[in-house]
Amino acid sequence: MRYKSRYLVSTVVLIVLIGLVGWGLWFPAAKESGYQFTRAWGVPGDGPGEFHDPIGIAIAGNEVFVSDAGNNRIQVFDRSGQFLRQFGKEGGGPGELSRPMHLDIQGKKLYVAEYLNDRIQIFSLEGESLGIVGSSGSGPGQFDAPGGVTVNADGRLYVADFYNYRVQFLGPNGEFLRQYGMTGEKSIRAEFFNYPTDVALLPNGDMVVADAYNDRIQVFSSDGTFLRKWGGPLAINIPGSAHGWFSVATAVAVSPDGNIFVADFYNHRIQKFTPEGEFLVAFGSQGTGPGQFERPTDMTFDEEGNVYVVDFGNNRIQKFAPIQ
Amino acid sequence: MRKIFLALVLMILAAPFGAAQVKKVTIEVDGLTCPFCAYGLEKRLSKIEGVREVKIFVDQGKAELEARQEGLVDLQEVEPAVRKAGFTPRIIRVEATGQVVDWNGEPALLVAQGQVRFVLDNAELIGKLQELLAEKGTQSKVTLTGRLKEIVPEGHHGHPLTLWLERYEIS
Repeated sequence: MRYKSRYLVSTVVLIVLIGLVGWGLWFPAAKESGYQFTRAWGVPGDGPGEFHDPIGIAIAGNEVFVSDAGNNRIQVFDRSGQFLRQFGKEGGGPGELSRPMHLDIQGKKLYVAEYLNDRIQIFSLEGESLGIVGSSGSGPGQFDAPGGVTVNADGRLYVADFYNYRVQFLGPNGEFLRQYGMTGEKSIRAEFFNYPTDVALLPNGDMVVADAYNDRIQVFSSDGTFLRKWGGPLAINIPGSAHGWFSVATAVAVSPDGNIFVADFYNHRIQKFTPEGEFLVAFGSQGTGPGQFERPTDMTFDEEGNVYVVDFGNNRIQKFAPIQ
Repeated sequence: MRKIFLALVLMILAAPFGAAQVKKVTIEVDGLTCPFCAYGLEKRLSKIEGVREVKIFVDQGKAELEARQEGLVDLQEVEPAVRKAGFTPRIIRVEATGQVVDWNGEPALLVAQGQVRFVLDNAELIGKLQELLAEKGTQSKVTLTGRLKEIVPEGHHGHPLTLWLERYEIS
C-alpha cells in the first residue's frame, strides 16, 4: 500500500516536471521588449504606391523594393514609403514578370523569384533585366513555382522550389550544385520539406528555410548538413499560436545582427529567434490598425534595426522600430 | 502552308470528339487565402487545354476559368490540376451552352459539336426548363449553370458528366 502511494506520488511529480520542462520549451516567454509601429504605406490598387497582393521585400541603401505580385511588378520606395519607381509587367520575356514572390539583393543586383515563370530573374537596382536562371520542371536547376531566393557573397543562389518540395543550391549561372529535401516528396521528417517558401543565410553561411506547411524552420550548414529545426513540439507539423509555434511560416529573414525573423502567416505576426532557434519576441496581431497584420508574408531590415513588414492581406507595408 | 492545312483538318476532325462548349468553370476550394497556394492553383489551371484566363478570388476561396472562344475546356483535367496544386475541390461549377436532348431516357446537354456532354439532374428545375423549351422550341440554345455531381474516374474520358442544374437561360 505504502509502495503504491509512493509510486503514485513519484508519477505525479514526474508528470509535473515534464509538464514544466515542456512548458518552458514549447511556451517560452518573450526575452526582448519588441518593436513599435512607426509608419505604413500602400492601399489596394494598381497605381504607383498601390498594391495587389504584395509578397516580398528587400532593402538596398535608402531604397525598399517590394514585389507587387498581383500587379506583376516591382515597386521601389524610399524608407519613409515615398514611391520612387516601378518596373516589370506581366509576361514571360526578359524584364517581364509573372507573380514575383520573395526577393533578395546581393552585389547591387535584385533577385526575383517568379512563381509562374519558374525562374529567378536578376535585375539591376534601376530595373534593367540582367539575366535569368532556371526553367520549368523538376530536374536539376529547374523549378516548379520558386517562392524564395537568397544569394551568398559569391553569387550562388539558394532557391525554395515550392512544388518540388526542395531547396536548390545553384551557381551564379544556374548550374546545379546541391539539393536539400527530396524532389516530389513531402514529409515531416528532418531534412524534408512540405512546400518551402523562402530561404535566408546566417552570417556564418548556414542556410535557413521557411518550411511553410510543416509549420517550422530548418537550418542547414553551408556544406549541406542538417543542423536543427523548430516550430511547435518536435517541429513535426503541429501548428499553433504559442510563442515559437507557427501557422504556416511563409518567410524567413536574417537581421543585420544575425537573428532570425519569421513571417507567421495565419498567426498574423512576426516572430524573432536567435540563430539557434531560441524564441526572443513576437509582434503583431490580426487586424487593419497600425501594427496589426492580415497575413504577413515577408520582412526586411535597415541598418538602424527598423523592420519593414509586408502586410499582404491589407495591401500595405508597415515599418517598425525596436523598442529601446 | 501544308502544315497549316493539316492543322485545320485536324482541328475540324477533332472538334466532334472534343469537350463541351464550356464558357466558364468555377472551382471552390478551402485554404485559398495563402498566395503561394492561390498562385499555385492559378499556375496549374492555366495549363489546362482550352483555358483562356484564370482568375483567383482569394477572399471568396474560388478560381474561375474562362474558356477560349471555341469552348473546348478539358474538364477531365480540372480535378487533377486542383489536387496537384495541393487542394481538394469542394465544388466544380460549369457554365455551358448547347441544346437539351433526351439521352438514354435522361435529359442531357448536347453541345454544338453534336456530342452529349452533360447528363442533367435536379428534376424540379429541369421540369421548368422543359416547359419553357416546349413554348420556345426544343431546338433552342440554352446556357446552363450547374455543379458537377461526380468526378469521372480515370479511363472514362468522353463519358458524359452529370450536372446538377442550378440555373438556365434560353437564348
